[in-house]
Amino acid sequence: MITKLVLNVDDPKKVIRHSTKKLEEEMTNFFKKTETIFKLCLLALFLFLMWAARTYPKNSRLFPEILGAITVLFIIISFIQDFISLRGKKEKEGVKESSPEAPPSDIVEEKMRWMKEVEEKAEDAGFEVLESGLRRKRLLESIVIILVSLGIGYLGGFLLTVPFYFIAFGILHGQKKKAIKYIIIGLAVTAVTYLSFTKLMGVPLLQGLWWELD
Amino acid sequence: MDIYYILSLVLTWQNLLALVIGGFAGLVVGILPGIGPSAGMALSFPIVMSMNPLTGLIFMGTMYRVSNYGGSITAIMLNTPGDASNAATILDGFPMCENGQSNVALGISATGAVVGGIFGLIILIFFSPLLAEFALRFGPAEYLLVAVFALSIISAVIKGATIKGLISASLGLMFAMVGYDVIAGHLRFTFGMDFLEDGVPFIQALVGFFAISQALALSETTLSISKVGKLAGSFWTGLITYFKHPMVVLRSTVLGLWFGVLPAVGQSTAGLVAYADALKCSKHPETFGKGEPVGVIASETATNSCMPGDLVCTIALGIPGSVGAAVFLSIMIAFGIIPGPLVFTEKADVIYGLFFALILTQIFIFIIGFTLARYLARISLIPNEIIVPAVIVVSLLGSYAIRNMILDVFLSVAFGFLGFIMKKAGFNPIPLILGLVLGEMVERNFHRALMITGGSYAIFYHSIVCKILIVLTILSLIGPFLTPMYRRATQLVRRG
Repeated sequence: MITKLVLNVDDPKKVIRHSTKKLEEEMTNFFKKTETIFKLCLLALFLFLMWAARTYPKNSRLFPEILGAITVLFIIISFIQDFISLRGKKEKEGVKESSPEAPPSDIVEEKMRWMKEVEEKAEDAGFEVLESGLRRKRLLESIVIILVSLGIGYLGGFLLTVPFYFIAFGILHGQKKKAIKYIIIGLAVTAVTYLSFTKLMGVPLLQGLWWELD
Repeated sequence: MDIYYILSLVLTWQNLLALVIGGFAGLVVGILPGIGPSAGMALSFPIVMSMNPLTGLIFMGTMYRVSNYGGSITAIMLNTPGDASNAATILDGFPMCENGQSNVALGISATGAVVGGIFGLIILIFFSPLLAEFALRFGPAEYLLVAVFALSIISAVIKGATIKGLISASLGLMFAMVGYDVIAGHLRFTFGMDFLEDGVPFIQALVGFFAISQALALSETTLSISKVGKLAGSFWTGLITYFKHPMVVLRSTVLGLWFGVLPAVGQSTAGLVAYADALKCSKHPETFGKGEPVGVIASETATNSCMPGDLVCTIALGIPGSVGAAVFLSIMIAFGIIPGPLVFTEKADVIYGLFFALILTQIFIFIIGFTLARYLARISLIPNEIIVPAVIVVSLLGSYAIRNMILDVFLSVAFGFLGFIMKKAGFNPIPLILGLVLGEMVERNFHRALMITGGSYAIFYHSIVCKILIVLTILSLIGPFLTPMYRRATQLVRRG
C-alpha cells in the first residue's frame, strides 16, 4: 500500500501527514468498527452495572440506576446518530455516482506530480510514514512489552523493569545497531530513578519478589 | 492588615529559601506524572513540621503552586497532565507541541501562571472573607448543578461529539461510584477486589488514561513527539501572544476566581469551563484542538487564578477544592491553624503572609519558565523509542509510589489500554476524568439535596442560581447542534 505525505500549503516547513484515499477509507472503516464495538461493550457494561446494583440498599442504588439509564439512552442516541449520518453519506455517494463527470486528466496528473514533490520534501525533513500494517505491528509489540514488563516487575521489581523497557523499545522500535546505546540509557535511567526516588525523595520503588533493596 | 508588617514577616532568608526549595521541589513533582502536588506535599510533611508555621506553609504553598506549572509542562510536552487541573491545557497545548510550537506554548503557560495567579491573589487578598461568605450560600442542589454544568460543557466542546463526551463523562461518574457509597457506606461495584474499596484511585487512572495511552499512541509512529522534527517560536512569542488576547485573559481570570471560590469544584473544572468559553467566543472555533494558542491561554489563566480561590475555600471553610488542597488543609491543621472564617483575623499574619509569598512564587514561576522553557521544549525532539519507555517508566513508578501496591500499576496499565481504545473509537477521556473527579461530589450533593426536601426533586430548580445553571447546561448541550443550523439559516437568508 502506498502512503503519501502532503505539505501544508500555508507553511511549507510544516509537514502534515496525510494518507492516500485507500488508507483513509481503511482507517475510517477500522475506526467505525472499533467505535461500534466499543459502544456495544459500554452498553453491556452499563446494563450489567445496573443489574449488579439491584441488590444494593435504595440510597446506594438510586444514583447508579439513574446514571445507567441516562447513559444507555445516550448510547442509543449515538447509534441513531451514526445510522442517520451513514444514510446521509450513502445518499451523497449515490448522487456522486449518478454524475459521470470525472476530473480532467491534467488535474489528476498535476496533483500526482505535486504529491510526489511533497513526499520528497518530507522525506528530506526526516519524516517517515508507516504503513498501517507496520503501525499495527509496532502497537502490538508495545502492548506485549508492557504486559511482559508487568510480570518482570512483579518478580524483579524496578531494577529489571526499567532497563527492560528501554532495551525492548530501543531494539524493537529503534535501530538494532544502537543496542549498546539503549542498554546504557536503560542502566543510567535505572540508577537515576533509584537515587532520585529512594534516596532523594524517599519514595519507595517496586522491589519485586526476588530481592529486597535498601 | 498592615502590609509592611506582613512583608517584613515574609521577606526573611528562611522564608525565601523555603520558597525557592519548595518551588524546585514543586517543579519536579509536577513534571513527574503520577507524583503530583498531593504526593509531593505528603512526602515533604516530616521535613516541614520542624519549621515555623509561616515558613512551613510557604514551602508547601509554593510547592503546590509550582507543581501546577510543572504539570502544565508535561501536559504540553507529553500529553500527560501532572494533575487533573492541567487537563484543559492538553487540548491545545499538546497539539501545539506536535506542531513544533512547544516553546510558544510554554511561554503562554508561564505567562498565564503569572498573570492568572497574581490577579487571583491580589483580588483574593482583599476580598477573600467576603467571597467565602458568598460561597456559603450555595446549597447541595447548586453544587450538583455546577458539577453537571461542568460535565456538560466539557462534553460539548470536545471535537463537537457531544453525545460521545457525555457517555465518556457518565463512564467517569460510574467509576467514581466504585467503593464505599458516600452516603450509606455500602460497598459497590468492587466485585471482591479489596484494593477498590477506597474507590478507583484517581492518580492511577489519570496516569493510565493520559500517559500510558499516549505512550501507546506514540509507539505507533517514528521520529518524536514533534511531528515537524524541529522547534518553532520562542518563549517571548508565547508571552506576546498571551497579551494579544486581553479579553480571553480577563474572562478566564473571572471564571477561574469564581470556580476557585466555590468549594470542592476545583481547578480542573475552571480550566475546562474557561476553555469552553474561549471556544464559544472565538471567531475560529474550528482551530481549537489543533494547536490554538487561545485554548492554552484560557485554560492556564483560569486554572492559575482559580488556585488562590481554591486555597481560600480550604482556609476559610475547610472545604478543599482538590486533592492537593486537601493535603494542604491537613498540613494547616497540623500547624495548629484551624480553618474557618475566623482564621482571617486570628491568624492574619500567617494567612496574609502566605498570600504575599504566593505572589513572589509567581515571579519564581516566570523565571523558571523563561530560563528552562527552551531546554524543556527539547523533550519533544527526543526519539520515540526513548521517550515512550521514559513516559511509561515514570508513570508506572509514580502510580506504584502512591500506595505501594503493584495492583495500582496493573490498574494504570488497564486504564491506559482503555484510554487508547477510547481514543481510537473517537471518545475523549477528558470528560471521563472530570466525571471521576466530580463523581463523589455529584452523588453526595444529590442525596443531600433530596434529604433536605424529603425526596422532592423540586429543590433542583427552586433557586434562581439553580435555574440559571439549568439554562446554561441546556444551552451548552444543544449549542453544538444549534450553531451549524444557525449558520446554515444565515447563509440561506444571505443567498435570498
